[in-house]
Amino acid sequence: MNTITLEVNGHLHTLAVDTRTTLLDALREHLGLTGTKVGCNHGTCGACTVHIEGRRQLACLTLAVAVEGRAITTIEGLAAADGTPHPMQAAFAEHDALQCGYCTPGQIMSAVACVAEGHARSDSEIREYMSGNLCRCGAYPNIVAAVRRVAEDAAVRHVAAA
Amino acid sequence: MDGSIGIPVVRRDAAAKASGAAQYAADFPHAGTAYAALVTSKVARGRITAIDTMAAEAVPGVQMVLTHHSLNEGLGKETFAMKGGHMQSSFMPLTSDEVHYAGQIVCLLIADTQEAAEQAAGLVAVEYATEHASAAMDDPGHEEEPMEKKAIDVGDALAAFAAADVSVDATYLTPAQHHNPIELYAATCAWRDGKLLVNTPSQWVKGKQAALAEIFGIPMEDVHIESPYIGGGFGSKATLLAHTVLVAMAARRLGRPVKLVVPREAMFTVGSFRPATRSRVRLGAKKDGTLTAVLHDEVGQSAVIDHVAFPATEVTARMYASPNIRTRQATIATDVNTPGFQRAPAEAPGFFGFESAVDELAIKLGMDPVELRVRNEPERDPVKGLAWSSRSLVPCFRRGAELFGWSKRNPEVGSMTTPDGLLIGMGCATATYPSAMAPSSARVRLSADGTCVVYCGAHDLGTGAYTVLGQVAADVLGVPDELVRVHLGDSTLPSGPVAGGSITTGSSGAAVHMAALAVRDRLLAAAGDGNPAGWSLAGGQVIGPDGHGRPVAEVVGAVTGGVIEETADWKPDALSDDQMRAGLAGGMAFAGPTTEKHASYSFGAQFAEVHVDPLLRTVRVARMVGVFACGRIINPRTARSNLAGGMVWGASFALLEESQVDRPRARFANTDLAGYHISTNADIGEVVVETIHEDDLVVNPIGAKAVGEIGIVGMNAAIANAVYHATGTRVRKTPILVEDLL
Ligand code: FES
Ligand code: FES
Repeated sequence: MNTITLEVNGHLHTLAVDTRTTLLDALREHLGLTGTKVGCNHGTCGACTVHIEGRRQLACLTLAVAVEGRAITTIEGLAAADGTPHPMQAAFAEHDALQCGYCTPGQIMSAVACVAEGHARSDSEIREYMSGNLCRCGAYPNIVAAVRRVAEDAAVRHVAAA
Repeated sequence: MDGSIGIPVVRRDAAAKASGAAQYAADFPHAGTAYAALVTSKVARGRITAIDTMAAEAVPGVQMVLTHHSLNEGLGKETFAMKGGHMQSSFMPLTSDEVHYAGQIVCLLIADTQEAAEQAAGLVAVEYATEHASAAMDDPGHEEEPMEKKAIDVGDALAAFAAADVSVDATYLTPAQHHNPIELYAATCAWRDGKLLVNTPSQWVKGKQAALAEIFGIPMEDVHIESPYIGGGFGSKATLLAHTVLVAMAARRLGRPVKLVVPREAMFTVGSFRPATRSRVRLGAKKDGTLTAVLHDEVGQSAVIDHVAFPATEVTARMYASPNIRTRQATIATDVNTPGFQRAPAEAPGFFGFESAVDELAIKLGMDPVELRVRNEPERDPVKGLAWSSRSLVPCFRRGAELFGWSKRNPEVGSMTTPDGLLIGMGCATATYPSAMAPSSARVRLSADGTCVVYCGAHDLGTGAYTVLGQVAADVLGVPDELVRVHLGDSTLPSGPVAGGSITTGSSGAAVHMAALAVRDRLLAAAGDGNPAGWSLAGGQVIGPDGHGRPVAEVVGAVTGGVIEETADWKPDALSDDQMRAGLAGGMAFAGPTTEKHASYSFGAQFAEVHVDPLLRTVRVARMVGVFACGRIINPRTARSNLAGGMVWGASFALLEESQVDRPRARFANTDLAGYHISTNADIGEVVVETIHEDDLVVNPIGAKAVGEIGIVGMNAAIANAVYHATGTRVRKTPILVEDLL
């Protein structure tokens, strides 16, 4: 067992974990942050996508002890402090980019990063850069629409600010 | 906003899902939880001769190791769903030393942590006496078991086929496939005061409740299945899986909650799958395209441990007008876990062959494939002569062709290319799905605060049930969408049917409608001091005979208790009261799709455009268009998503999905999402979905036919037909791979 401190969504948590505990299990089983989902435990589905220092990463392939001291963001930390959903969360609801909703937290975390990376400049680019997140319900066309919408709004804000 | 029927209101659970707040089975915390891990069989058939768990038991934190030596408990009278029970299989692992399929559970380990349980699982040593096994139905030595009761004969199809001007005779193969919902199977079981709480993703809370009550010999009220959200089911989470029973047994013995999340790899064998099929289709026609003979012989993969069949021929026989029809159905038993329902279990594989054959016939006739289908549109059900409760297949094809731009298709093979030199193929196919119904209960409550709450033990798998069932109540009671709440997926709620066969909206919707009407009657009576005559409901007001209105909330507030609540039990006409009671108690009671007078099916037209690389022979689906007629659409937004999702499944079926069998070892080989391919975002191009409105009050009082599964049906064939159009190669099996086109 190792005692570590994780910074998740801006809060510090001290917890005792096995060396083998993944970040995914630390979030879900130790911290009760079950918004991050488990779909395979070996890096093939994207359901466990979180941000580490703003970059998307698979929590199932990350050991908890390896991310001590790094800023971790999960789906629970995406909304504004007053609870207003992140624009990507709102766009997913508006475009019906979810069905069962199980891949959704991972999709949204990936989508936010996809736009930030500048990989949402066309539908085909969005499809390509969102392909690490499987959706068995087949919500792909609506996911593309939601990401496109947020990317376009971000571009408009960018122009307005310039 | 107005939340009544037909309005595309935003999914009621969208915010909970997008925020991560929606709780799925493995998300419910239970204090003191112990964690479970599985050991599964490496051989497909034989007996366990020795199982050494000493090293596993020595791992710090290990609390319990269950094998066939230590379980000493079984299912009792509970059994396989198709034998009148609720289990996925009649075979229960750990009840004997028998091994019937690879990947069968042979040991369950419980520890204080997940890590310790998994470490211990890796230390269990099992020895087997292995027997010869086969997990593929085309392995040598198998015999077909005919299902005589499923045979359909109209006229003399063999003679008509022999005498036909033009004919097609071809055989088509579809492989075993797995549901692979993104949410893993999971079960957390907790006992308190002799009562069992189970968090498991469930498409059938009532069935699982009944099964566990039977197995543990406790009253149904003492079993609570809580499953408000399901991370995709597609048929895999309907029947009770054996591991849930084992976890409940372990939790009772340990006296603490036990949680098992089944690894992806084990998902291929601890649940069910879509069995392989082989279809021989023979079609005979006159030169003008009029069908004279329709013959379909289908063989489906079954299991040695349980006989199962999903006959597509009952549906294909009714597809087109023909004076002569002959279908036969058979199964082949293999050494596999019991196959089960997977999205359009019969129709998706069966229509691949059938609709490919229709395309082949069109080509032989030199006829447009859309026109061939329109030419053979039957006025009545061709098997029994029943009236259709509604059938708008021709309008679907007309509208689909228009949306797709079918008229721009040059029928000549390989004649169309993209500007960058890819071969364009365009194909179409028919989709259909039976509209069966099941009994359902529902409770509707109208409160003085203006809210309307719907309670029903139905399920939302991502299908939109939370949204549409609320809309049915809102439609009757005029409550705005933001004041509607819906509770589903819990065995303590009024009984809902299994979420299978695309029946939820029609069946539970009818129950909600009935309960809402009863609430409305009481509301109007309350407004009229016991006499509802002359009172009506409009715009959130109760309007009196004098034309003056009072807000609904005010009338409800004046009622004793401040609420008006009614529960209704809805029964399809074709079922008896006894059948209804059995259904509501957790049984399976289906009516339709054919009754004494009517045949009820949803219909659709599928179109696909593929791009094939002329050198590499890779196939991409550039576009899919589907137009469907499913009665009345309660919510166009969720219905469209559901239909589009089905079409994505169809594309996946056509080009990617196959559970490959390692024949010498008789086991599934590609048991993870890296090896078992499903469509990714980049595999799917544009998807266009439309629905055609139908007024069908025969099928149920709200006029809703099947939506959930029809989207997949026919799309695999539409893509195969498009591949032929692009390349001139007729691939009669799925998935269609590069090597099939070389
Ligand atoms: S759970 Fe991490 S990628 Fe699937
Ligand atoms: S919404 Fe169900 S897996 Fe994506």
